[in-house]
Parts: sequence; C-alpha cells; structure tokens
Amino acid sequence: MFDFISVALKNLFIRPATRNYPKTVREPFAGQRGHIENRISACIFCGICSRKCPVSAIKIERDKRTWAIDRFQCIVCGECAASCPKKCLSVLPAYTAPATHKTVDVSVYAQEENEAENPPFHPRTEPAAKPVLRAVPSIKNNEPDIAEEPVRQPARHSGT
Amino acid sequence: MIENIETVELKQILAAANRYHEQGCRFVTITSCAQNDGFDLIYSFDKDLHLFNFRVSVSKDEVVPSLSPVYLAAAFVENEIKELFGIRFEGLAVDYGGRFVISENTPQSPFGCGVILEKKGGGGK
Amino acid sequence: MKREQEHTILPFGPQHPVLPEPLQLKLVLDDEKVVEALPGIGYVHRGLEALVEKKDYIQSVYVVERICGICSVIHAQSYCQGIEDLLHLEIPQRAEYLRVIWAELHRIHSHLLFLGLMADALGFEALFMQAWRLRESILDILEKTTGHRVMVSINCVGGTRRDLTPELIAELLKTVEELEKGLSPLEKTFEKDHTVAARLRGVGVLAGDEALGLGAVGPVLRASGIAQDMRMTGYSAYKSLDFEPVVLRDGDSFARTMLRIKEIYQSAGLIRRAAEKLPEGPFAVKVTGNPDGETIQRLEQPRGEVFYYIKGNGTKNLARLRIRTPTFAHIPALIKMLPGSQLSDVPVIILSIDPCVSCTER
Repeated sequence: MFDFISVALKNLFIRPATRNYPKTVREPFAGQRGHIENRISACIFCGICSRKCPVSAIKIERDKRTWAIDRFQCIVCGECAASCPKKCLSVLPAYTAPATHKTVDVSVYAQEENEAENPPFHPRTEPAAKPVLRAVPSIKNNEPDIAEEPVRQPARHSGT
Repeated sequence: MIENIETVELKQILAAANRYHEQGCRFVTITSCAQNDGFDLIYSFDKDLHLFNFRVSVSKDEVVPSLSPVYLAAAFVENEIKELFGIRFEGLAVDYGGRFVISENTPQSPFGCGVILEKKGGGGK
Repeated sequence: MKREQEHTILPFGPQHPVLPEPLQLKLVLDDEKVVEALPGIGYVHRGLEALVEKKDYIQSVYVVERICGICSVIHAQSYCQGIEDLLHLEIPQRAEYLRVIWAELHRIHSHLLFLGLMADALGFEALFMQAWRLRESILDILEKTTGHRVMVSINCVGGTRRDLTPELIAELLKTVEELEKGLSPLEKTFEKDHTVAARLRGVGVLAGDEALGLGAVGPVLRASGIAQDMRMTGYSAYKSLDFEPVVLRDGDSFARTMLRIKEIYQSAGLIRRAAEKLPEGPFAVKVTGNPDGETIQRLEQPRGEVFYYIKGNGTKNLARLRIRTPTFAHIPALIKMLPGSQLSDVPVIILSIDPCVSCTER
C-alpha cells in the first residue's frame, strides 16, 4: 500500500502527463508517417503507386492527368513513395486533420508549381485560431456594427 | 518445407491422435487447405518445442471423426473448419451448429473448394 | 422438503465494461457460483485469411499486421519469416536484431496494457492509469523509430524498412531504463497490496498437466509450471541473446500477473543485449521471385505461441494462409477454469489469460 501512496503523492506535485488537446498539439516527430503528398508537376501518371497501394487509396486518370488520394483510406505505409520512379511522392509528418465526412483530394497536373490553382494540403498543426468578428466602424452611436459572419480559419483544402 | 510430417488414412486419424497423446504431445491446431477435388487436413502437435504433423486427404463428402474425445481443444478448431470449409465432423464434444465464427449473412462455406467469391461484384470478402 | 436446483443462465458479454473486445460467455449459475461456461465468438470476424489470397504477397504484410493492434509487429515478423523461408532468402543479421528489438518493445507495451486492464478489472483505477502512463513512453519511442504508434509497418519481406541510428538507440535505451524505474512501485503494489492479493490469489487455478492437455500456451502455461516459450528454439536473433524463460508454479491469476511483470524486465534486458550486439551491415535485401511450397512458423507473441502456415503456388498470390493465435488456444482452458468460481471472479479470470479477440477471429 505504501508503495503506491508514494506514487500518488508524487503525482500530486508534478505536472500532468496529458496535454490540453486540441488547444496544444505536440510537434510531430521527425520520422513520423503522417500523410502522403505528391509534387504534381513531376508526376508522369504511370500508375505504379496506384497498383502498389495495399488499400487502393490512390486513383489515377491518365487522360485527365489527375491524381486522387482518399486521405481516410490511406494507411500511410509509404509503399507508393518507395516505388515512385520519379520520386515525386513524399511522406510528411503531420497527421490528417479530423473531419466530419470523408473526402478525396484530387490534384490536377499543372506545368509549374502553381500555388493558386493547386494549393498544398495544410493539415492543422498549430492551434486553430479563434473566430474573429469583423467590426465595422459605426456611422452614428460609436457602436461597432457586426456586418458579416465571423471569419473562420480554413481547416483543409477541399476536394471533390 | 514442413519437417516431421506423415500421411495418414482417414480411418486411422483417431489412432494416430491417441499415439501422440500417449507420448505427451500438446495439441496445436488443424490446418485445412482446399484442393481441386477435396481438402487437405494437417494436424499439428507439439512435444518439447518440436512440431509433429500428420496429413489427411479428405474428399468433399467424407465425414471426418473428431479428435474431441482425445483432445478437447480440437472441438473449437473443427467447428471453425466446419463453417468455413463445409467439411463434416462427427463426434464433436461442443457443437455450435454453424454459428461459431460466421454469422447468418455470410455466404456458407466461404473457403470451400469451388466457391467463387467474386461473383456479386466482389461481395463475400 | 427438497428444493429443485434452479440454474440461471447469464450472458456475460459480448459488451462488458471489463472486456477490451467483444466476447460472449454463457454462464450457468447456481446462485453466485459458476457451474458451466460456454464461450461464443464471431463478433469481429473479418475473413482476413481470404483477403490475403487476393493481394500479392508483398502487400499482405499490411493485412497481416492489422489482425491485432497489440501484437502487430510479431504477426508481421512471422509472416515475413515464412515468406523468406519459401523464397530461400537469407536476411542480414542486422535486420534480425532490429526485428528482435521492435518485437520486445511490443511485448513490453502489451504487458503494460494487460496490467492496466487487470487493475481496472479490480477497480484500482489509479494503478491502471499509472501502467498506461508508462506505456505512453514506449508508444512515443515506437513513433520516433518507426513512424507510427501502433501499426508500425516496420517489417518487410527481406528485412526491415528502417534502420536505427546510434542516437535513436541511445534514446531507446534511456526510455527502457526509465520504464524499469517507473515499473518498480507498480510491481510492489501488485505483489504486496492486500486488496490485489485478495482478488487474484487462488482465483482461476489451472494445474500444469491440465493446461498442457487443453492446449494452453504462453504465460498461461508458464505460470502453471511448464517451461515452454518459442523463443527457446532460437529463431531470429534469440539464439545469441541468452534467453531463459520465466516460470512460476502456482497456476492462479496472481501467478499469471506476476509472470507478465517479470517478462517486462526480461524484455528490457533482451533489448539492451540486442542493442549491444547489433552488427553493422545492410538492413534489407532485395526480393525477387514468387513463394512456392509450404512452411510452418511458430513465434512467441506476448500472449503465447502463434502458428503460421503459409502455402505458395508459384504465383504472387498465396494459396493459403492459416493463423492460429494464442487466445484461440486458450478458449478451451477458459471452459475449464470458470466452473467453481464466483460470478465476481469471472472478469478477473477472463482477463488473466489476456484475451485478444480480434486475433482469435481474424
């Protein structure tokens, strides 16, 4: 009994082992397998990654030059990245953000890395910003006139 | 390559199992494999960390005597094989009547020989 | 006046707060004493043995390691060893030692999970939380070295997918040392605490010859006095690591719990010796060809001996994969341990065999 009391007493004074998720998110470790990214300008749409995938998460359409991955089907094993002949696939540390429904991320081929058309996927790694109410300066009365919906942080790049 | 494997006739299964039991072997498992015209059953036993096996060839209609009088543990494996492969066993100490591992919605004998599972658009997996 | 004995049939499970996975037991009770028990499984059958025949043999490693979340790396190791046997492939020595290090890390985290669940079944929530707090340090080191916490995908046919740098090895050894220090008060609590002893001692006794006759394996067999551990056969790198099995004599739930605690210390020692003797060289070889023939592999999972039968027919899909996991071997032992015990001891007895039902049903 006294062995455990010493543990319990110690736990009263040290900081807790849990962190306040989702307010604080741990930095991903260096070798972590979080999600798969494709550098679409280098992709030749050969289809090897689609064939090697154990769960068929990657779908490629050669004629339309699209590369689609179902983020929630993907088990992040890295077989696609290991077998890609052009080395355009990479495994990055950040996990896919939780969502309320499954979506498929489609990347369409673009000649150069055009950020505006194909913005890279940014899963949430820092705490989500609080919604900001846009205050419009008042005309009379010195009261802020809340004119629009609160601005929310975009959670993820939306696909189909 | 499997070491220590002998081939045994269907009628001599219980006698072979008794032989292993008398030497103090522990029952490990029964492996069933679908062949073109029947099944192959491999019975495995362990003594002091060495594995001893015997193989029996069974056709689709033959009834296999159960090992439960000698080894109670065999009854559960035989129930599973009965449901997945459709092989009939007699003398089971515990019989689940077809509801040990699979449910009502699963197609019957999904691993049995000659069963094609791809028919309904990949259903039955 | 004679009163006819009336028996109640109580369905224990499939959902129960103490069970980690769905398992049904139909208990026939006479007042509070169990007279008979009939187990029922089938709630998580996924037909994985058939799925492996549809995928090629390299992709099947990912299927096989997802049979169970706790013993996953040893499932992958058994499968890879079997395929390497069929392909007559010799893997580098460094890969064998690396596989042993990850397998022993999994054994530690599995036993810590068991200790937490056992403490939870007794109602000792604080001990449960402490055991799982220690387990988090192992999951973190697994994530740092392999990339994932649970389904690590580190074994592949031909070796391992990643190497361990000297910095990672130093961090791993430090984590293991801190774990041993943190485990010491928990071990003393399990051993000496009055309430724990009252709930565990003398409960669910299984004699040695009975255990052998019913086909029990692993810690259940070793706690009843029979020294059988697949690591004694010296597969993988165990032949050069001076392995001796831990054996206890009493055969009750207390012995099974203490044996698993001792095995955590044993695994920590094995990891240290393997890290010391780690040879230089490559960690994987290239794989060509298709498996042909049949092979049987038996390895030691945290719960006992796992049996793998792999049959190849020269194509890239396997002809048959048969897996017999240790919990499947303990179902008949459960039928013999339960009669004669009190209803309140049933959760403790079921947890003391460390059931992993998703392994059982695949």
